[in-house]
Amino acid sequence: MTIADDDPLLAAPTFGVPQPEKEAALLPALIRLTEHHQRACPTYRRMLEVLAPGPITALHELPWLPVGLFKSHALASVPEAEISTVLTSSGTTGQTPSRVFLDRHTARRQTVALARIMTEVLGPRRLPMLIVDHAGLLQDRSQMSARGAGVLGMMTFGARPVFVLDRDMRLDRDALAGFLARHGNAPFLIFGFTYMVWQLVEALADGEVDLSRGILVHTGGWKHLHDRAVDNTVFKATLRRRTGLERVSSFYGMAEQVGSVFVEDADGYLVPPAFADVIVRDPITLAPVPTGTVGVLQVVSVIPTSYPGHSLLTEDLGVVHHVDGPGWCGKKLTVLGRIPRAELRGCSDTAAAERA
Amino acid sequence: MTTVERILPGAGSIAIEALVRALALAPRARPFSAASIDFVAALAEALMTDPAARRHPELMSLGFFLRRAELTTMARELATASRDAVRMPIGLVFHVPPSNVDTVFAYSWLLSLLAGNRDVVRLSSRPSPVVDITLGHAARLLADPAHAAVAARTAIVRYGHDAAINRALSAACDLRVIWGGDAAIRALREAPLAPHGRDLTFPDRQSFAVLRADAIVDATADAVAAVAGGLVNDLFWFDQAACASPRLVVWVGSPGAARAASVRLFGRVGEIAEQRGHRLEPAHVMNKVVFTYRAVADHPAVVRREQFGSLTVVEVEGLAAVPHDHPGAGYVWSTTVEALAELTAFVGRKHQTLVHFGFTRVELDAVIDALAGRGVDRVVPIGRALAFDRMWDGHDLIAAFTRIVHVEAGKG
Repeated sequence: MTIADDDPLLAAPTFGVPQPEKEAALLPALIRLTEHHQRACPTYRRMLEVLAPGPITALHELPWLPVGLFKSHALASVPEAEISTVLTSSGTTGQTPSRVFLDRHTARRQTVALARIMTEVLGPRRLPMLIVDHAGLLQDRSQMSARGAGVLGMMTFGARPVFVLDRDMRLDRDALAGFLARHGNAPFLIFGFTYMVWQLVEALADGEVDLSRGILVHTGGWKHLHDRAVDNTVFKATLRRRTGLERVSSFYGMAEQVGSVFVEDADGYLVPPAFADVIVRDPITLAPVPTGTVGVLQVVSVIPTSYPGHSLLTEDLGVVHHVDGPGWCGKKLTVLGRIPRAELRGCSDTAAAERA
Repeated sequence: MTTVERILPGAGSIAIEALVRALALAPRARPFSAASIDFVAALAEALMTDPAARRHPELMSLGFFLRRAELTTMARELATASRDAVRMPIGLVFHVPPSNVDTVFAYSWLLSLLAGNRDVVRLSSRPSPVVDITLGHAARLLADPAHAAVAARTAIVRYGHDAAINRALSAACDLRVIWGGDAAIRALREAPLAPHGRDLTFPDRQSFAVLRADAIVDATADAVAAVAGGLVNDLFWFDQAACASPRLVVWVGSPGAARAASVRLFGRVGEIAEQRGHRLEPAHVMNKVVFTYRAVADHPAVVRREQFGSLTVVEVEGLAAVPHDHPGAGYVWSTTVEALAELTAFVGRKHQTLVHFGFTRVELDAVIDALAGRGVDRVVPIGRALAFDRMWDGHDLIAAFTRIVHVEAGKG
């Protein structure tokens, strides 16, 4: 393996490297990764030869793959025998799941990366952990769903985990009450996917439980909630009113770049860690846009070595509000959700086919 | 009781039996009756002068095609064609237009109306400003007592998934016109026609352009701009999703000339598309990006991708290697051949429109002769791919919408 484990980018202060220094460190590492994947993944090499042959002198010139490609193509940069886990994720729009091939090396880097990030949010101690999901999620570890992988990944940062949903995804009140009786008077960790946490909130009455010592970490996108007119502000206000929960951090990440999650800072912006970054592109021309302009998000990360996922064009829209301070260093991002779907007209799409 | 939503004439729910009965009792008309011509010409006039319609070039094409002078010419041609083979209306026509090319319902309905038929048009539920504008003018005209005879022959309807309505209309009609979508045709064919009834179907088709590379290289800048302007219409109308929208550009010439011509022509296409406001939706851009990456991964013959504004051009080595799928929204496959004759081995039944530039009539005639019916129903100059005509998909629609009464006079 050419990418060393003792990666200085993983050792750097996670949210403490000013953007210019960060870019200077990321660029050579990502160029090396691009070259590595070109050597190791023939499909990746072919796509770059035809579609992105130019020189790379800045982060925004790094070739990217559209994230949808992981749905249609098996892209790996290691021999099949070295693949230890295949992550799958259906995303929100497609029926075909993405497939992400991890070897032990990349899996370990993901774990280290996530640990660096979690330490910033949770502190160095492993807190008792409440999981807003059901235990059955983790049964098959060779074919892991992204949700399962997310939960499993987070479990390393908590202690004595308790799942509060049952198999039918209903609130297990006894499990919740039992956990709070044991751990509710000291800091504890709550983890779940955003829409599952919202389901939990909706099942509770105001003041029914006291989560005021909890630290909630949630992720998974807002699509389901935006349909019900719930945004981050409403989400947080409702949590506070119902449960007293005040420390809430959302994450932005994807199965195709596990480990490089962006974390919500004290001001409510998502911030990429030192070993990852975001580039906002015009949704029509795909050229990079200046700070303050909404566009499609490209995410880069030094973590993926076993598959060419170190530079991906997502289907999400977002905007960088400003770069570096106050608070954490880096790009201060808001994710605005998926690119709106647009129907294409087509000859085979007739009244009869549509309805008959 | 099974009902449909009648949109024209009037508006409201009507039982399918009552609708069919009313049309059966409607007064008969002859092809190109004064009443039919007056209505269609008035509708065309209304569209051509409506500022809202002017924002949709396809409505201007519709209005122009159906202008009174054109209708009079069609009427005269039919009247003088043959005294022994007299054209008469075919009867009750059941139209199932596509939802994507939203002017087709009007062409299908109005040409049939001109032929003298009684028409039931099943509209798609898909919202379309083009359909709404057209129906708005038609509704106003049909409410006028002057057009009462036309109103009595017309029913524009919408209905959801209902096999019983498909069966009732299919059994009652003399001609069923199904506009595209192989799936739509299969679905409707589940409903039997009357023994004498027949289908006129427009299945899924593909179209391509054939351009002589030297003709672009040698053309003046103005001439290139004119060709590019025409190609913008061909490529960007209807999101490039009509059967007649070219998906492939075949350059005829040397590789060097093709390269130079490609950059020259598509560069202008990109600029003109931008000037005319053909901006893509972000979702279309993303769809094209993913499609292109997949194409490169899957097809070793893909050698180059270039972006000219909203137009993506993906070059393939070898005509036979051109992939069949296509993402729409400003995307062309491009390849180069040495001679027009190479088309013969490529063209199949699925090919509808051949768009051309830089060839003589003799050269084009030779291509059609060599194809010998393998495929291609339309051969049109660049810029005319989507110009609707009564000749479509190998049919003369006025002929298809009428039947022949053969008259043999006795001797003496």
